[in-house]
Amino acid sequence: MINMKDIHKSFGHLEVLKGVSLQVGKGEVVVIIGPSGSGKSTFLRCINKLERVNKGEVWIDGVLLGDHKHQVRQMRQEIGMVFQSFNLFPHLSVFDNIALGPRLALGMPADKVEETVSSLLAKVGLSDKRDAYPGQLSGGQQQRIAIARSLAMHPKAMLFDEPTSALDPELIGEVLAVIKTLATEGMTMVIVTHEMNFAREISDRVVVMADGRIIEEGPPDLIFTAPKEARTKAFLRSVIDKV
Amino acid sequence: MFFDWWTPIRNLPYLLTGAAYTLGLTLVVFALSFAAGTGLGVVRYNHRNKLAYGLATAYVELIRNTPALVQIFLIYFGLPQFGISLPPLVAGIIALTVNNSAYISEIVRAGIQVIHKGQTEASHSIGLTEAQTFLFVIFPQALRNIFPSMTNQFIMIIFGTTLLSTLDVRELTQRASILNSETFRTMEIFVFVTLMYYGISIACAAALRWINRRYFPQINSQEG
Amino acid sequence: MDLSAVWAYRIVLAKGFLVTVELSIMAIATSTVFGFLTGLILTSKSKGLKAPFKIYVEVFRGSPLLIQLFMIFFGFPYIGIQISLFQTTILVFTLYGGAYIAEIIRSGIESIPKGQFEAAASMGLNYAQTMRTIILPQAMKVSLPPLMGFHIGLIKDTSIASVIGYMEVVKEGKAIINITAKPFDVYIVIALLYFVICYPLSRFVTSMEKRTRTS
Repeated sequence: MINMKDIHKSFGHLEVLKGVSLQVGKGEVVVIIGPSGSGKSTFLRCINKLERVNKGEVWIDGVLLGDHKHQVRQMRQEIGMVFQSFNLFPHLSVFDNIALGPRLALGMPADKVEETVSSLLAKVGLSDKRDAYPGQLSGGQQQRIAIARSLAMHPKAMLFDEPTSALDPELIGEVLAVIKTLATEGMTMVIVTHEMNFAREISDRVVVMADGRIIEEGPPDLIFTAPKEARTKAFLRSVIDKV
Repeated sequence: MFFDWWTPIRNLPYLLTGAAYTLGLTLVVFALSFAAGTGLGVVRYNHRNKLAYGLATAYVELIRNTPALVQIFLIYFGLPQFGISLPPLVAGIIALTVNNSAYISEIVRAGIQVIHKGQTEASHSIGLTEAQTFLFVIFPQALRNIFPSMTNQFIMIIFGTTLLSTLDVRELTQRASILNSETFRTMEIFVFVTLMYYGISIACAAALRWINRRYFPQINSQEG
Repeated sequence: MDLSAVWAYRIVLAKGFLVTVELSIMAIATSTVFGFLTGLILTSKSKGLKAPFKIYVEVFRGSPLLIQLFMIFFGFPYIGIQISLFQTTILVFTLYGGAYIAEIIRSGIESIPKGQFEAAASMGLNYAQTMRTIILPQAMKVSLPPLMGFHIGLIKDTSIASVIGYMEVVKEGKAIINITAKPFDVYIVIALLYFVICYPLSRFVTSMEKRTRTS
């Protein structure tokens, strides 16, 4: 479904991704973990071309992705992204936030829009907030709306860039619950996160990144209980201690 | 010393017509400058077309670093040197528009720049085009940001219209001068007209603030 | 467009330009001093002291410069005060500029967090010491870019004095035009003269703004 081949990415002189390859199958949930600065978020953003790769290939659904604007936009409708800082549109109501994509990019007629948005609001448990504005919602509620906004485009896959890192601890659960629902429904997902328990629960495969490379990958039970690499062990120890 | 405050009051209709002229001029100039200034501001923000960016920058810098009065004289008195003779009102409107577009372009540019990059990323990630992103996500937010500066610019335009009195455009300042030469009640007239301008600027500022509250309600944003 | 006609009168133009520069420097100096003091007064707690200055600032910021020039230049002789063109111009620019600068200074001072005042008070400093060593140095950092921006505006505003007959560069330009009949050439040169002064100053202000933002 998603095939990233040998991705290299530099910001100026700093090489952040040093040849990263990853394949994600349909319906698979892949979680990427690793220390700060390992390039996890950058790699995720290369998938939907929010970051341009310096070298390497991005294949979505068997099609090689060029830089052609129309093709990229098409792809972005099919791959949703949820950001750490939510990035909801503050000047639009919750309803309009979710409806904007379908209305403009998909040209959906008004009745279908109503249907889509209502069902998504119900799915994330925020039907009563449809006329509210982002500024009036808590972080957890905003992030759930952000997820609904991406889902409104009927994506084939979803990317999550540290979806709960900006949230107060007590709000994290409600967002993770929504993401878990998507997983059980068979959505293809790539998630960058620091929530280790969540990663363990939800993933089909865990990828560990450090210093711009994938140092280890495998099923969650294996990675979390018996990692092979010293670097992975050190990282997990530092994170588990905090939990 | 005998002050005749009735003179300006008796001539209120004459002066109020001048005030109406002033406001009419201001609205026309503001509308035109806003349109032109927004276009320029977007070009200046966008950097992409190097030629357009260069021209826009040159225009903005030249206009902002030369006096408005000289610009007005260039258009009204200068162009006839090349056979282009414009009526005073037209020349005045063009000159004030040229002048204010440059300042508005910078306001618009700054207003777009402060918008969080994540807004553009989120728009792209749901598949909106550049144009859709600008029209529905960026510009509405920019408009909210720049409203106070725009209010200020509007007042500056009101004051700018006084320079058109040098072209004998019958706005408020010119009418004050004419009234003075007819009645010689100098201090009364000019104090009165000063207070009229003060009243106009206060009223316009209040009206614009009302528009701001009504159409751009404060959607208190905890950044997301 | 050949500028030889203008070139023939370059001395006249230069004289006018010198007057412009002179007037600009004086206007900047007087308005900044007066505006600074007014700004300080506006931050005082005494409502009685502030009131007349608040009115002054409101009116002079809320009305156009040209009308203020007319009011003083034509009005003072009318009420029996003999005032020269030079005195009028300096007086009006001082009042006009002073009002705007007072606002700039006032908002600069009020942007300093209350905690600074409290810390100074708890160290036993009096008002003058607090202002001199703690508040004003910080406030000036905030106020300097808008202040300099306003100064550049004053330089351009000196052109308005030509309307009441002040012999700065625009007025001299009009005289040259009457002789040479080359209005465009003359005004273009005058515009360029202003540009040569104002543009470098604007760039300086921009770079100063960038520096205060990163500091």
